[in-house]
Amino acid sequence: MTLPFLWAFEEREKLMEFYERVSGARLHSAYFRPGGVNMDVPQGFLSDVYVFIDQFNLRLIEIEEMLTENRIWKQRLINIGVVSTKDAYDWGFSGVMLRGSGVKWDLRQSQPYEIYNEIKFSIPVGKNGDCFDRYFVRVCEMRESMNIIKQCLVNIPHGVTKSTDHKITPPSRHALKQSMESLIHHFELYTQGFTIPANETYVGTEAPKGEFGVYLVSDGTNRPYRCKIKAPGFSHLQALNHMSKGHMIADVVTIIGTQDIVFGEVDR
Amino acid sequence: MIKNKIITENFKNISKICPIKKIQCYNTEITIIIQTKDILKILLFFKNHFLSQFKILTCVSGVDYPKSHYRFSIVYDLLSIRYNSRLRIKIFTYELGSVLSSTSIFAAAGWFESEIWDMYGSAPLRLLFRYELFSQVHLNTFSFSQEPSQGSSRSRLWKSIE
Repeated sequence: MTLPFLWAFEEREKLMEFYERVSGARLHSAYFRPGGVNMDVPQGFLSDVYVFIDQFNLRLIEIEEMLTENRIWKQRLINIGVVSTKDAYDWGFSGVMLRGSGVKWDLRQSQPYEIYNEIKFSIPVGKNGDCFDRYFVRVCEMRESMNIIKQCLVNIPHGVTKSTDHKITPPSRHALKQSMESLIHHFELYTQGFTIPANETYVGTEAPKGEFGVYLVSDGTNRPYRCKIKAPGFSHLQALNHMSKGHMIADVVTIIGTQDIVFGEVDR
Repeated sequence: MIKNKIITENFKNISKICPIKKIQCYNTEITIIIQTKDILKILLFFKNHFLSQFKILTCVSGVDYPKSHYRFSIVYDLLSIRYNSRLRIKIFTYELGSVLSSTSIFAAAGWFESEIWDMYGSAPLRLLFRYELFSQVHLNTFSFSQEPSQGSSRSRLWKSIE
């Protein structure tokens, strides 16, 4: 059973490399900035992604061949950690945990942000709310993600990656050395930043693990007054006790696995 | 979010039967401010009212305003899958007040409340939640140092308020 896990790790490493090529960091990219993104993607990056997708598709088929119809895999997953729709609501589930329990809900479609309203993809939904459904929803979502990436590769526009409003984005290195105005903007931005009016907001986005939300309070100064991050794993881990009731200790591994808990995320 | 509109329009009717102190709308976000003692009833109301159906408690967060009289604000973010909309409920409390725990209505509230208590309630005389059964797990280790499991200042304070 650990073999597909290692296959997936190899693919993960390739994805991390893509991540690093674009942003310079493997995990904490900070690629999206106010007013655009940090920099344009490097030359030849998009075609490499395209090659990767085809190869990843093969790997996904291999993983599925190994697991989906596997007798032992089914014995370990079917009817383990069943969550009814009502319980999923009650425990504040989101993302795959909600879809696995039969709720057709994806923030990318119901409350679209970024460019998701221009992209067509389907939402896989589970039926029984057990670990197998969640596993299968995740596999289907990998297919959908490839579909989304392909659409993006076709439709990605040429052009600037940053706003030209230098009150919120830094000027280019070249401009910095040529014009006084840019130098002032650069200094202002890096010493003070920008201020936003006093208000508060909650924005939820669809992360791989569920709804990743940020509750941000501004008091009219250049830094947030309160920034609370709602990690999806936090409410999922909370329900671990409820989900593993009546099961064996060994099933907890499966349940945590399909919850997709990352403890660094739960702890924040 | 057209359906958000339905809910906003219904707030007129809802405010007749529901003790709402203040409604704020900004873009698509609705915030209502209510009295601290009403929180359970209002959560139950919005959870089950057929025109709101806010079945999911997304997040509970605490905000500390040390300068104001009612120092702590507790913010409940609700999500309605049925109407695809969000609602924020806000209450204010102070160091000697207590907030009723909403775990009886949303099971998800437990850890969020524990976290708020960990962040703002570990010193004596801070924010606290009142539970029917007083057996919540503390999430952070730094609250253990001040709060041994029995005879803690928290439970003493809790008794004194009772």
